[in-house]
Amino acid sequence: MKSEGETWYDDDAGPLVPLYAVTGGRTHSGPYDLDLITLVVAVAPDLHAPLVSPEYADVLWACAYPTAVAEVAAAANLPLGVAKVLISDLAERDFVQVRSTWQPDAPDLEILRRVLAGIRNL
Amino acid sequence: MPAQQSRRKVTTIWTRVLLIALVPSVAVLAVGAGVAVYLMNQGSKINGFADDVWGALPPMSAFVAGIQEERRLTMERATGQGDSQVRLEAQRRQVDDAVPDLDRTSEALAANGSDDLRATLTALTEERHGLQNLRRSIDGNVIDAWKAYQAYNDILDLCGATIQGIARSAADADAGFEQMISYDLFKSAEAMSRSHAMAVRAVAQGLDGTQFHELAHQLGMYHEQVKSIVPRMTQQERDSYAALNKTPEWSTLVANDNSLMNRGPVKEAVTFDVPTWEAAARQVGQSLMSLYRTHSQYAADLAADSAHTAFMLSILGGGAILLIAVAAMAVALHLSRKLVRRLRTLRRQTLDLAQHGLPHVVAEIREGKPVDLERQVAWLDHGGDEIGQVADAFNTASRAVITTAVREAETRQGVRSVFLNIARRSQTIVHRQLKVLGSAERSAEDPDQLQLLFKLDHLSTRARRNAENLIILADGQPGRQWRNPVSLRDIVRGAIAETEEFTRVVTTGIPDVRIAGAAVADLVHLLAELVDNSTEFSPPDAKVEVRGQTVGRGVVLEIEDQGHGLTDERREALNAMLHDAPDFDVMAASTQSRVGLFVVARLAARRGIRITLRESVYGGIDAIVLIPVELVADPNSTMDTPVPRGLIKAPEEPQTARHRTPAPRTETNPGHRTDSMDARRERYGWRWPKT
Repeated sequence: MKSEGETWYDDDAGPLVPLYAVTGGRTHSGPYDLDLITLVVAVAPDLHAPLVSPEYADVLWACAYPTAVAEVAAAANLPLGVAKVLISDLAERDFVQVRSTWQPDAPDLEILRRVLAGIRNL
Repeated sequence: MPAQQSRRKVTTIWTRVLLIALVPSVAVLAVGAGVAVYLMNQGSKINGFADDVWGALPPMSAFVAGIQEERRLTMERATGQGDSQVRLEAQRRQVDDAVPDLDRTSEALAANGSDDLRATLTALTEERHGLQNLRRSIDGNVIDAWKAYQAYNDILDLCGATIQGIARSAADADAGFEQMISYDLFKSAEAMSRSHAMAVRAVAQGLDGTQFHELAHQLGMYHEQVKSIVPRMTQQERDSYAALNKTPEWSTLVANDNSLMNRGPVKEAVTFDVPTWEAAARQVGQSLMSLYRTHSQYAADLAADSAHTAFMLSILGGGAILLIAVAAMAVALHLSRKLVRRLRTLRRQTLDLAQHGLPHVVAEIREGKPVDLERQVAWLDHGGDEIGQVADAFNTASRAVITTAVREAETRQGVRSVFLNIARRSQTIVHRQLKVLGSAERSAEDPDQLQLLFKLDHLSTRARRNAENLIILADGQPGRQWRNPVSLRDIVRGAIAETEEFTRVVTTGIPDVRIAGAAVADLVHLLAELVDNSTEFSPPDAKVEVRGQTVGRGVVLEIEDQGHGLTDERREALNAMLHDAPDFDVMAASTQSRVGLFVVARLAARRGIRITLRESVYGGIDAIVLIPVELVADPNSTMDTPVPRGLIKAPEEPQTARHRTPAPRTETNPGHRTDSMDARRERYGWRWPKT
C-alpha cells in the first residue's frame, strides 16, 4: 500500500536511542555533588572509551582535559541532567576524576569578608 | 475402509454407463444368436431330412417292386405252373439284395423323421426281418397261398404307410401334397399288383367268394384310383399315362380282367391267351410303378429344393440377426463411451478449476492484483445439453465465489485504509509530542522534573510503537525511515528502549555491524516485540538477555528470558506461525498476546529474517533471530577493535556494550555524539592525560 502519511528520514526520525534509555531512566547523580562548575577529567579516555557505550565515550572525550560539567554537557550534546548521571557513573568506575570547587580547607567567611572590605577600601 | 473403497471402485460412472449399455446389448446378442442357431439348426434338419427322403425312395421302390414280384411268383408257384419255383428263388435273392440299401436309408430317415414315421419304419424293419420265417412257412406249407398273399400285403402296406409318413413329415406343404399324390400312385400300382396276383390264382385254380371279392376290389380300386389322380399328375406323367392307356397291353389287360370278372368265382378255362395277358399285366404293373417312382422322385426333388432354400434362408436370417445384434452393441458402446468421455472431461476440468484455477484467482484477488476473469479463468464450455448445464451451473457458482472474494478484498482494503489513516495520524501526533519532550528534556535542570519527562518520553515512545504496529499490520510503511546504514547496537538499544520494562534487559556481545537503512525500522520493531514478549512472560525481577554473534549466513541475535517457557506444542505452533505468517483475518481472531508475534512474523517474512523459538537452559524461551547477510551493510567492515586484556571490565549499566568501535558516521553535525573517535580526538586535542 502506498504510504500517504508523513515520512521522516534518518535524523528527522529522531534519535534511535532515547535519552531515558541512555541513563536507564535515572536522573540523580548519585553520591557525587556535581554542579555546573565542578571540574571533571577523564582517565585514559583512549583506553576506556571503547569499553563504554557511545554516550559515555562522548563524555570521556569531552573531559579529556579538566572541564566544567556544563561544558562537558554542551560538548557531548547532552542535557545537563543526563550528563551529570553519566559523569557520576564514570566516576564510580574511576574512568573520570571529579574535582569539586568546594574545598574543605577553603578560607572561611571571615577572611573573605576582610578581603572584600580591603578591596572596597582600595 | 477397503470394502468401501472397492465398492466405490466398481460403481464408477464408466462402469454404470457400460452396464446400462451392455445389458440390453448382450441380451439382444444372446437372443439373436439363439434365434440364428435355431433357424440354422432347423434349416439343416429339414435339409437333411429332404436329402434322406431323396436317398430313401429308390431303395424303397426297388424293395416294393421286388416284394410285389415275389408275391406274384409265390401265388404262381402255388398253382404249380412250370418253372415258377426257379424264378421265385431268383426273385427272393433279388429282394434280399435290395434289403441292405433299404436298411441303411431307413435308419437315416428314422433319425431325422417324426415319431410316427419312426414307428412305421420300425414296424417295417420287423416285418422285413420276419421275411425269412414267412418264406419258410410258405415253403413248408404251414400257411397256404391266400395267407401268404395277406402276409406280403402287410409288408407292402407298411411300405405305403412309410410313404404316407414321409408325406406327413414334409416341412413344405407343396412337397407334402406331392408326396401324397405319389402315395396314391403307389396305392394304385399296389392294387394293380394285388389284383394281378389274385388273377393268376383265379386263372389257375379259380377263387372262392372272399378271394373273388378281393380280386374285384383290387381291380376296381386301381382303375378308380389312377383315374382320380390324373388331374394332379405332372404334365409328363399325364402324357405317360395317356400313352399307357393307348397301348395294346392296357387294352388286353382291361379286356381280360373284365372277362375274369364276368366269369365269376368258378374254375373254368379262360377264354384269352394267358402268356400274352401275363406279359401285358407285367408291362402295365411296371408302368404304374414307374409312374409312382417318377412322381415320388419329383416330390422328393421339390422337398429337397425347398429345404435347401429354407436352409439358405435360415443361414441368411440368422446371420442378419447376429449382424444386427453386434451392430446394436457397437452403437451402444460407442455412444456410452462418448458420453463417459464427456463426463470425464467435465470432471477433470471442474476439479482443475476447483483445485487450481479458482484458488489461484481468489489468492490473486486477495493480494489486490487485477484479475481478467475471461482470460485467467478456464471457464467450462460443454454445450447446451444437461452436461453443459451442469458445467454452466459450476461456472455460475465459481463466479459467485470470485465476486464474493472481490467484495471481501474491497471491504478489507477499505478497513485497512481506514485504520492505516488513523494510525498515521496518531503516529504524526506522537512524533511531534516526542520532539517537544526532547527539547523539554534538554532544558530541564531539576532531576525530579527530568524524571517526569523521561516517564512521558517512555510512554510516548511506546505509543509510537503501537501506532507503527498498526501501520505494519495494514501492510503500510511506518513514518520513521532510514536511508543510511545504522549500527546494529543502536538498533538493539533503540528496540529495547521501546519496550515497557527496558531496565530489565541486558545486552552482550552485539557484533559491530551496520544494517541497511531500509531494514532498520522493521528490525527495530521486530526486536522490540520479541523483547517485550520476553519481559512480559518472565518474573518481574528476572533479567532478559540479548546476545549477538556473526555467523556464516549473517548475524544472529538471541533474546533469552528466564520465564516459565511454553509447552512444546505451543512453541511449535508459534514457530510455525513465525515461519509462515498467517493472513490478517486469522490473526484478528487471536488474542492480544499473539498480535506482537504476528507483527514479528509479518516483518520477518518481509525482510527474510528467520526466527525460531526454543527452550532456554534457564527454562524460559530463547528467541533466535537470524538476520540474513543481505541486510548487513558493508559486511566486510565488521571487525572489533582489539582490547588489551586486563582492562576489560564488564560495565554495570544494562545498555552498555563491552566494547565498541564507532563506525564512520555520515552526519554533518560536528557536535553530534555519533562522530568518529578520530574526529573527537581532533576536536578536543586529545593527549594522554596525567593521572
